[in-house]
Amino acid sequence: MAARNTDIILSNGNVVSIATYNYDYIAGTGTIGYFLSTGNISLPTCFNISGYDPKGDLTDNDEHLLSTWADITTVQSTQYQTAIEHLKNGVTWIWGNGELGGLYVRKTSSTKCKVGGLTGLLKNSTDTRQKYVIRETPEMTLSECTDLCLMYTENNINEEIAGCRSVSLFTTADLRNNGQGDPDHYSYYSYANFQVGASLYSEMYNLTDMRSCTRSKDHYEILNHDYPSQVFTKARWSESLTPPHQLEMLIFGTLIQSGEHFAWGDMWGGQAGDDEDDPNANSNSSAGDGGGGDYPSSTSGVDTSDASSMAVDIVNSGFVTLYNPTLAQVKSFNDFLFLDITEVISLQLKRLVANPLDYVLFLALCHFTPPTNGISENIYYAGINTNVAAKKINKQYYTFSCGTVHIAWDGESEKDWTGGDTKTFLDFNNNTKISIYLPAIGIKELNTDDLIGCDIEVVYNVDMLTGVCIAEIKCTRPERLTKGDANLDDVIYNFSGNCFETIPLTAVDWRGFISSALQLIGGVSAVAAGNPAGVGAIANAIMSEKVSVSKSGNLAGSSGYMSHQKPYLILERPINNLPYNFRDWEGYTSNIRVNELKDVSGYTEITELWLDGFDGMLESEAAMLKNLFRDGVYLNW
Amino acid sequence: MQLTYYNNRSDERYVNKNITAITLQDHSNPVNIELLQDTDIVHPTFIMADKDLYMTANYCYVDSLHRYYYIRDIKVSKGFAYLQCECDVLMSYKEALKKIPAIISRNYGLYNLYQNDDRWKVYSYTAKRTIEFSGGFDYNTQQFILGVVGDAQGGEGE
Repeated sequence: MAARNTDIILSNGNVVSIATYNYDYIAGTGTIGYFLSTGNISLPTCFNISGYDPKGDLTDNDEHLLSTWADITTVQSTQYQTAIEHLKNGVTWIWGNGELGGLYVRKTSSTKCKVGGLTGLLKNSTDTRQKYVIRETPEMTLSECTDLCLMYTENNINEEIAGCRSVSLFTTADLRNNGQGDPDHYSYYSYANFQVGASLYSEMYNLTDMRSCTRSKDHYEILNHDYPSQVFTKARWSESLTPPHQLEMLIFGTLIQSGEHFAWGDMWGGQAGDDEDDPNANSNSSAGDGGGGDYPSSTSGVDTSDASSMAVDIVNSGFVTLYNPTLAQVKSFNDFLFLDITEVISLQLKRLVANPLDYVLFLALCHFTPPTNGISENIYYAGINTNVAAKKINKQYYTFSCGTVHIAWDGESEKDWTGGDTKTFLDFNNNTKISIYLPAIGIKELNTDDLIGCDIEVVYNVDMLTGVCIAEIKCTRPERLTKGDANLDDVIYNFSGNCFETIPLTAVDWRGFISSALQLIGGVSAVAAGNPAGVGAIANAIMSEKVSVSKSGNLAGSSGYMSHQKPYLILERPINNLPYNFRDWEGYTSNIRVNELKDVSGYTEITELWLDGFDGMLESEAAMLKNLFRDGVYLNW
Repeated sequence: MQLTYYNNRSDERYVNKNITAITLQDHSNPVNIELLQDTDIVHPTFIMADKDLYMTANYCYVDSLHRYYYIRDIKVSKGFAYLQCECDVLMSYKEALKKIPAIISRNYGLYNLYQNDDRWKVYSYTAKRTIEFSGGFDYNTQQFILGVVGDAQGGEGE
C-alpha cells in the first residue's frame, strides 16, 4: 500500500504484514508520513515506513514517525531495505513502550535516527541478528530505552544518550557520548575510540554501570553510585571471536574473556566460583601449581551395566524355567499341586517325590513387568504338563533406567534454594548433604562433592532368578568444576538389594521368612550431637553438629516391596545469612597474588605484604601498615 | 615546620582519604608548629600557639615530615596548643603502596567462592528437599514370578 502527501495510517489493533517489497511504502510518500499503532507492529522484510520521495520533495524538517505502545518486530532484509531507509535530510523517530526486535537502519548520508522509549529485545528470537539494532547512520539519539543492543555502527557517530538503562553498544567505530543526560547502566564495546564529555579514549572497553569515566594511563576509573571505584586494566578486542563475544578484558590483572558463560555481573564480582583460569594468573609466579605428578586429565567414562544384554543365562539352560503367571494362573497351579490328589500320588509313586513343592523353586511378587516372550505357554512341572498357561520369562536379567535428574548448585536454577550466591563452598561436603533413596535397597549417603552440579542417572539390573538387584548411580558432569578436575561421566556408586517379595511355600519356608523379615526391620537411631552451635553459627559448624540420623534400614524383601518404588534424592543445604553489603565491607575469600596493589580495589585484606621501595618508612610504620592490611582496608586509589 | 589542617570524612580504613583543607577566617592554614620533645614521628605531639588551633580539625599534614596525621587529642595550656597525633600510614604512603605485590586474602572483587569462608553465617535450620527420578519400579504393578525346575522340553513325559 502506498500513500502520498499527508496520508496518515492509524490503527488501534495489531498491524501485521503491512510491508511489501523493496521500495513499496506504507505511508507517506509525501512530505510527512506517520505510522502509528497502539497494538503490536510486525514488519517483515523490506519495510520502509515512510517518507521516500523519489522526486526529492522532502525538506530538512521532515519527520518520519514509527510509534507504538507495544512491540515492534522487524526482520532484516538481505539488502538492508528495512524500516528506515532512503530518507533524505529527515529525522526518523522510532518510539514505543514495547519491545524492539531487530531493527536495521541503513546508513544514509545525512539522516538522523532517534530511537526512544523501547524496552528490551525479543525474548524468543533465535536469530542473533534480530536481537540488535544495527544502524549505520552518522547520528543517533537514544533516549529512555532499556535493554537495547546496538550493533555494528560504522564511522564516526555522535550519540546522544539520555535516560537509557542497560544499553549495550557494539561498535567498531568511534563513539562519543556528548554527555547529555546521565547515562545509566551502559555497556560499550568498541575497538575504536570512546569519548565521554571532553575526554577521548582509545581502545574501547566495556564500561558497565558507568556514571562517569576518566582515563588513567592504561585503565579506566569508573565511578558508580552503587559500587566503590572500580579500576579495569587493559582490555582488547579479539578478531578471532564472533560478536558479541569479542571482548577480552583484564580485570584487576585477571583475564576475562566474553563468551557464552560470561556474565556481566562478573565485571564487578570477580570470578565467582568460576575457576577456569589459574587464580594466580595475574601473579607472574609459577609457584602454587603443586608438586607435579601424573594425575589423569580425563575420566575413563565408566558406563552403567546392561545385564539384560547377556546372551547366556540360566533361564534358557533348561534347568530352570521362570513364568510370569497372573493371579488366576497362580491359583490354578496351586490347584494342580494340591487338589488333584490322584495325579500327585501318581507322581509321588513314580518319582518318589516327598513334597509336591520340591520342583517349585520359588514364587515371588515384584513391582515391574518381567521380560517375557508375550506368549502364554503351559507350565511344565517335573516334566508334567500342568495345563496351566502362563507367560514364560525369556531373560534372566532385567535392566531399566530410572531416568536422570540434575543436582543444581544453589542459585543455578531460577528458583534459588536459599537466595545465595551460585557455586560456593556451601554446595560441597560439610555443608550440603546428599543422600539417595533406592527402592529395594534403602537410603544411602552420597558424597556431595561427587554430585553437585551433575546429572545423576540410576540404572537397575535385576536377577529374575533371585530378585537381587543392583542400582548403579552414574554421574555426568560436563563442565569442569575447577582447575585440575576432569569431566565426569562414570558410574561412581552401586548398591545392592532384593526387589522380590518371595512367598514362602512350606512351613519351613514360613519360619525362615518371618525370621528374615524381623532381622531386616531397620530402626531409627540418633547420634547425639556435640555442643550446640551458637547464634548465627558459621556454615561448617552448624552442619557438622547436626544430629546424624539413620534414615532407613535394609529394604530388601517385603520391606522393599511395601516401600516407595521410585528413587529420589534427599538434599539438605544450609541457608546463607549474609547481611546486605557484606561483600563491600568484608569481601570474600581470595588467596590471589597480585603484582601491584593498584590493580586491586574495594575492601581488601592481605596475608603478606612486601614493603619494598618505601623511602623513609620507619619500622613501626611498616608494622602499622601490615596490621592495617591484615585487619582490612578499603583500596580506593 | 608547618602543619596543614584538614577535615577528614573518611573511615580510617580507606587508603585515599576524603580530606578538605580547612579555611580559617582569621588565620592562615598551614600554621607553624614545633615538635614536642621526647615524642616520635609516628605518634607525635605538635605544639603551636593556641591562636593557631582549629578545634574542629581532625586531620593534618606536616610538610617537613611528609606525613599525614590523625589528630587524636587536643590540649590547650598556657597559651599553647598541643596536638597529639598518629601517623596515617595509608595516606602517607599511598603512592608507594600502589606498586607493591601482595597476596590477597579477602577482597571485594577478586575472590573464589569455592574456598571455605568462616565468616559466612547460616541459619540453624537447613533447607531440605527431594528430587524424585522419573522412572523406577511401579507401585501399581504387581506381578508374580514362578520358578520351577526343568522346562517344557525336559523331564519324563507321562
